[in-house]
Amino acid sequence: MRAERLTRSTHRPGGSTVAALVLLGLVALACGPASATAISAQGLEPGPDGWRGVPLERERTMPVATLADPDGDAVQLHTAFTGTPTLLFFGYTSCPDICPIHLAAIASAMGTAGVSFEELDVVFVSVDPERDTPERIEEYLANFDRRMVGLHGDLEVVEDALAQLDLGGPVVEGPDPRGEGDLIGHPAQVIGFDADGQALRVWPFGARRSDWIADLPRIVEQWS
Amino acid sequence: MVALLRKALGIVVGTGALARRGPRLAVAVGLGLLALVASACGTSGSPALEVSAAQAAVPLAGSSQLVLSITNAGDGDDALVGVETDAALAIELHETRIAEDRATMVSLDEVPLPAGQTVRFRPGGLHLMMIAPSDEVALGTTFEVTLRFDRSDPVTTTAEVRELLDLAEDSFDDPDA
Repeated sequence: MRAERLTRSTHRPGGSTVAALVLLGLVALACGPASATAISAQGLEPGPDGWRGVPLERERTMPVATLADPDGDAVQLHTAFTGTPTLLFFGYTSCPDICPIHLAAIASAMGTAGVSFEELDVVFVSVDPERDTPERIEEYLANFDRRMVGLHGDLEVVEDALAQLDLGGPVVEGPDPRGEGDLIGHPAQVIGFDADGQALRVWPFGARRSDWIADLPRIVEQWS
Repeated sequence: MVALLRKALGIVVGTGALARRGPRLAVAVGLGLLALVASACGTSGSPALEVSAAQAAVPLAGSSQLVLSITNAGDGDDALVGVETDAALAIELHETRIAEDRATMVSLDEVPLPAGQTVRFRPGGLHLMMIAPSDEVALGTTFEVTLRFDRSDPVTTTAEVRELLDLAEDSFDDPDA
């Protein structure tokens, strides 16, 4: 293929310069761009109002969904988490880096910013019902803070909740190459809701402790 | 590289005339060009790998990840084909992909190490996932990992265990690194 292109371009009348350029291009192409190390998150820039979280353009509300807490008791997402602001994150305990980094950053910043779990609910919804037993979710969240709320439910319920937030897409993307279970796709951002259950801002992957330390007091002051 | 490009230009300029003289010559020149392109891309040169010191995250939910970088300062491509350690059941080559605010993780058989480039393994991108790390992988401890390559000899480096969040924030602070 490459030889064909080279040969053809050299046959063009007066094509020497063109051929030279094509060859240069080919050399450049064949050696490949340095994209292998690209990272999708480089921290958040403060907006004009000082917030680090990204404002949502369209109105979204806390999804209407019935999930279960670690004891197996039913939790209505849209009624249980109104009255105080809420940070909602969809993840799974076998998640290697996005999930634990978000949760560790929030947990660390809560203490530093002096924001309590009475003032702000932090809710983790598992998107991996096959592997994430209630015990496993509880044990996982204890790595960050036991006061975080871990919820689980049928995959259809979780997918419907994601769709209500315009975060639809296949959760299960095929078998997990690590062996048991499924390969999971999930939103990379944390979603922030005010006390009325209106989603107002998101924090994409790349949010640092310092971003949360800046935003957590604002959430409590302005969204309660 | 500049000398190589000049050479390439010279050959191509000559090719226009040669090609008109006959198909056999054109084919010969074509093959020469192909070889030149191939050599420019490092498939025939020699890789020269430099592996950084490694850092590992405090294990969580039965896994951990290693942060390190590999620079190929040579003129030949190579590939990372495996990582071994006594400190875990296995180490797998993974990549977290984030597109349109959705994250997924894919497993890779090997990671290309093109000549002249640095490849970094870190949170949120290419990463080396440790499956079932042993008890010795704890905050502040160190352990050894051995990287195996397609062409170069294996390299052993030392990994220091740190908090995952610290590893992540270092990589956020250093987007071009």
